[in-house]
Amino acid sequence: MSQYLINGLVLSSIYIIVALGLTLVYSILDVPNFAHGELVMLGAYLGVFLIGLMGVTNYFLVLILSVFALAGFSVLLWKFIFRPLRGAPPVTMFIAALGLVYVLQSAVQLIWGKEWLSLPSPFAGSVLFGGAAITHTRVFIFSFGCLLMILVTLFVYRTWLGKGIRAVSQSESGAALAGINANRMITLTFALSGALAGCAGILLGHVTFVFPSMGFSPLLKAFAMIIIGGMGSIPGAIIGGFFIGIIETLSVAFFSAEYADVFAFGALVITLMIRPRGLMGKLE
Amino acid sequence: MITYFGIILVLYLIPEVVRSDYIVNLLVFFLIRSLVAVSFNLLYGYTGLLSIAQGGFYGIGAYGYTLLVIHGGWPTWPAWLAGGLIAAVISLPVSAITFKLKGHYFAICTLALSLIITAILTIWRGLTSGALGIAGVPPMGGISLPWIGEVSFKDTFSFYPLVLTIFLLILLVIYLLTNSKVGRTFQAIRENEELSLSVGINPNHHKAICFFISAMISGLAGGLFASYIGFVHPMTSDVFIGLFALACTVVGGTGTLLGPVVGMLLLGTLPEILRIDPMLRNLLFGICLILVIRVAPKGIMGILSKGQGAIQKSLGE
Repeated sequence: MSQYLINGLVLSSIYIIVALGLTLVYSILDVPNFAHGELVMLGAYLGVFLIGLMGVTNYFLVLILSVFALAGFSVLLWKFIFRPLRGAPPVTMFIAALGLVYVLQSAVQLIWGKEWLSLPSPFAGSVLFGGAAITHTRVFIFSFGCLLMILVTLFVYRTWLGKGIRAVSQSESGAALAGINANRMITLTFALSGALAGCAGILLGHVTFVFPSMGFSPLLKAFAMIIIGGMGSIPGAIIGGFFIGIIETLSVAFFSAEYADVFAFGALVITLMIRPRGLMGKLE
Repeated sequence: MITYFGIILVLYLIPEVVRSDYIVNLLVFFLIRSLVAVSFNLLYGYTGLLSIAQGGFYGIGAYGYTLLVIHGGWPTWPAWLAGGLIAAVISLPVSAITFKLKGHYFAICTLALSLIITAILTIWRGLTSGALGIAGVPPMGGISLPWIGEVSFKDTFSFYPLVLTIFLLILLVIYLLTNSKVGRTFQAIRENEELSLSVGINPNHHKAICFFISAMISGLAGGLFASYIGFVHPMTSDVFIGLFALACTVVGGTGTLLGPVVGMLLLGTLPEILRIDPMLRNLLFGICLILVIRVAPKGIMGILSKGQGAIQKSLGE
């Protein structure tokens, strides 16, 4: 039981990192970025590639490089795919993101093939905790995940740039009147979202395998998390994330893994029925 | 009018001309999948509801047919209709859940419901035998026609006229529906829900009707699929069926009668006929989707009608 709980917490800390990137872009553009899961997948592949190139000893360098690469890539997506569609109906961006899902998945297959790869971790050994054996990799994932959650929350709520992002997400024209460059803030948000996806991809690669469609399931879980927590809210995404994580763990422990989806997406549907803006979402 | 009859006659004669099992098989799949895209288009193109649950209804129709025939001992034809009806009835609570959601909240909720349907089909082993799927689904029973006599639908060549007839009938129903008062009400809701409310239209009522018809079409398509392929699996209701229908509709032209069909022909069937590598196909597919959204938001039908307009204009001058 405690083994299940700990594995569930580790996995949900990765999913929360995915959800944070998703909710940041949502808060500023009001668009669910359907291609966010593919950024996670790209992060994992980049991790495999760079570790193959530089060796597992340079792990943190690999992490930093792929985070920067993903941040840059995410900004490119904004500049060339999403920004030109801003005037169009909101579902247009949704469809463009779906197109990106197909492009990125097949591009990765063309480069790395369909085989499942594994992402080696520099941490060996495990610790015993309450009758459960936890590998050091999982300890690292959970603590790094929590650190990222704290850093993102502090960045958005305590820094000048974070204030700019929140201002643009509340009202773009209002922010522009106050002298904030909205375009720069959106670019920054995409960079941040891509960086988080890069981290999540590498962390996810340690606990699952690396394969072209690996980003889809975390993306769906992240959607459930941010809808339950409230679209666009960062504390909401974290609370919703642990909520989904616990639901999934309990359903795995008491029923079987197949029930996890029913409960997680059932919780999503029920939230939309009784409180469409989620636990902590802003009022429309 | 004569042109239309000519086209329909040609469609019926295709298997006689090509005599290729491979091509006719692809055409059967094309017609079945087109029905899913057509049902998506009725929701999104005409009423503005971006539903990703069509794959789920398709799976329900397939399982409905299979279970009623195998476990219920029903004759195939009533079982097929009942499968579609089950999907349509399940759409009623779905529209009750989703009716107050707008835009992408609606899309995500239908996506979640589609995933829940797949999960239930996997879990409910007693009924659906879970991830093993059900093999040996019987094909549609034969019928006796005047002049032609007894017709069975056991192989590809005999199934093709059946699926083509059903396809054309459903297309006719959609045509009549979208050009009726109800269809115009759907479009009014798509354009502006508040305004349609102010002229005495009940948007939720009409959305539910649209969802009901569209789920029925998807369910009927699923039943056809199960009877043709003889095997159902939880992946029959995969969410990517709904997403593919969406993509084909957008590329072909949303809100046009033939747009989803053209999109399915171009993105789903043409790459198969040309035997393009699946990886490359998905790459082209995604690029197509992004390009169409950027360059021609009305899709291929939009480009065609613009071209036709230009030709007519130049002829007029």
